[in-house]
Amino acid sequence: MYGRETPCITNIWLGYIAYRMGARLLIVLSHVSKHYGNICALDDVTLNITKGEFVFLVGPSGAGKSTLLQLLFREEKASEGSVVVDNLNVTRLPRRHVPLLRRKVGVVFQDFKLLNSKTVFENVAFVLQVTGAPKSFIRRRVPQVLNLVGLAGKERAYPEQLSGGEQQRASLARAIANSPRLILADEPTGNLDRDSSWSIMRLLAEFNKRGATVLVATHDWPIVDAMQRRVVEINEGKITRDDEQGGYSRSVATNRALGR
Amino acid sequence: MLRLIGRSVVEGFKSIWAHGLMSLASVGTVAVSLLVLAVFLVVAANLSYVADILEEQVEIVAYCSPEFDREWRETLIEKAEAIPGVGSVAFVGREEALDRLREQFGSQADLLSAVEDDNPLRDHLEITVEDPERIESVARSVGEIQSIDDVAYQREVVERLYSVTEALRTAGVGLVFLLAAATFLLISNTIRLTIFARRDEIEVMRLVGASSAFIWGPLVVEGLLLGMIGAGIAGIAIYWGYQDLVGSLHISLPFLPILGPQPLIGNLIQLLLIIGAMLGIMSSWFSAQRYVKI
Repeated sequence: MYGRETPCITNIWLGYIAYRMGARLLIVLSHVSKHYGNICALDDVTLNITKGEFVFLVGPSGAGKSTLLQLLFREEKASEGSVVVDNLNVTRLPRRHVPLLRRKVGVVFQDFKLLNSKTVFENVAFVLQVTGAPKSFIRRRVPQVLNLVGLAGKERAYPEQLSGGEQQRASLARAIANSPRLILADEPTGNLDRDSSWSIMRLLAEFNKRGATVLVATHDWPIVDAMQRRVVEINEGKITRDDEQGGYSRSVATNRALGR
Repeated sequence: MLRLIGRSVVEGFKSIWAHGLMSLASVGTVAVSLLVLAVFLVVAANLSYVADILEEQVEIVAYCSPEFDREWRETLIEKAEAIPGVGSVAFVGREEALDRLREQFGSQADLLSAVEDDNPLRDHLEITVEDPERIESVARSVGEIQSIDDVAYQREVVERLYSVTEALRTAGVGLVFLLAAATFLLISNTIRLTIFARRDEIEVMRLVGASSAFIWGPLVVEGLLLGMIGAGIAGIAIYWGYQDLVGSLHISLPFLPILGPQPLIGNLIQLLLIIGAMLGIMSSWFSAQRYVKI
C-alpha cells in the first residue's frame, strides 16, 4: 500500500490467466502439501477463494487449518504445490518481498498478540508505522478503525486493562488498519465468551461486506451454523467438504439434536 | 529513511538501558580488548621511534682497552682516520664521558654520585661514517686496531629494537584477534538477549509486514553503540594514562626519548573507535541474521 510491489513475470502471468478465466480469484492453492519431517500437515490441497468471499475453515484440532492459514502469509512455506495470494506467487516469493505480501493480509489470532507495553492506540498505530505511513495519516486512521470495531474511547488503555473481547477487537483494528484485501483469523473466538464471539464474527462479516475477503478457521460451530456461509472442512490434512452455504458439520440438524 | 534511522537510534539506546548489566559487560570487554590493543600499539610506536632516532646517528664507538696509554692518542686517531669510509674521529676521555652523562641526567644527576669516585667509563673514539651502509665493514676494521677492545655501533641496537617492535606488533595483533573474538561473542549475545526480550514485538512486526531493515535497524544500532562506547572508554583510558606517563617520565627520566601524546593518541583513538564500531555492527548483524527469521 505504501511500498510499491515489484511485478515479477510469473505474477503477471498468473494475473493475466486469472483475468482471462474471468474468475477474480484471491487465493489459489493447487496441490499443496506441507510436511514437518514425517508428519504430513496438509496433503494435496486444492482450494480457490474468490475476492469478496467469507469462508469458514473447520475441522478437528490438528487437521491442518492453522497450517493452511500460515501458508497464506508465508509464515510457513509449502513443501509441494503452489500458493497464490492476490496474484503473488507466495511459494516463490523472494524473502525481501515477504513484507509486501504481509501488508496485504491482516491476521487475527486466538491469543490476540497485542503488545502489552503499548496502549491500544499505539498497538494499532504500530502497523502503520511499520509500513512507513506518515504521522498525520496515522493520527487520522487509528481513531477511525478503533471506532469501527467499537473501541472508541479506549485509545489510552493498555491491553491488560481490557476484556478478552475488547482485546480481540483491538487486534481486529490492527489487522484492518492497513486496509488489507484479505483477513485471516485463526480461532479468533477461541478465548472468548458467547457475546464477545458474536461481536467479533459480526465485525468480520462487516469487513467482508466492505470488500475484504475473510477466511476464518474456527471450532465455534454455533456461529458457523447460524451464519450459513461457505464452509471448507479439513480432516487429516485433506479437504473433505466444501459447501457453498453450510453448517459446521454435514448435518446441522444432528448437531442441534445432540445439543453439541 | 530518516525516520527509520531515528527510530533505530532511539530503540537502540532504550535497549542498552534496559539490559544494563549485559550491556555493561559488553562495553567492558570492548574497552579492555581495545585498551590492550592500544597499549601494544603505543609501546610499538615508541620503540620504533627510538629505533628511528638511533638509526640517524651513524656513529661507531670504539672502546680502548683499560691499559691504554693516552700518549698514544694521536697515533690511534691517525690509524682510525686512515680507514676508508671514516669521516671524523674524536677522542673522548673517560672523565669527559662522565661529564656528558651527568649532563644527560640533568636533575637526576645525583644518581651518578655513587660511581663518581671510581669512574667505570672508558676512553673511547667516536667515529662517524661517511656511508651508513658501510658501517659494518668500517666497524670491523676499527676493531682490528691495536688497543681497541670493543666496537659498538648503533645499527646493531637499531636492528634489535626493530625486531622487538615487530614481535610486539605480532603479539599485539594476535592477542587482539583473540580479544576481538571474545568481544564479538559478548556483543552478539547481548543482541540475542534483546531479540529474546522483544520477541513479541518482533513477531508482530514480521506479521504486519515490517521490512527487515525496520526490524534489524535498532539491533544494529545497539551493537554499534556498545562497540563505540567501549572504544570511547578505552580511548579515554589510554589518553589519560599516556599523558600521565609522558609527564612523569619527562621529570624522572628526562633523557629517555618518548613520543609526545599528540598526534599519536589522537590517531589511536580514531582507530579504536573505528574498530569498536565495526565489531559492534558485525556482531549485532550476525545475531540479527541468525535469530530473527523473516
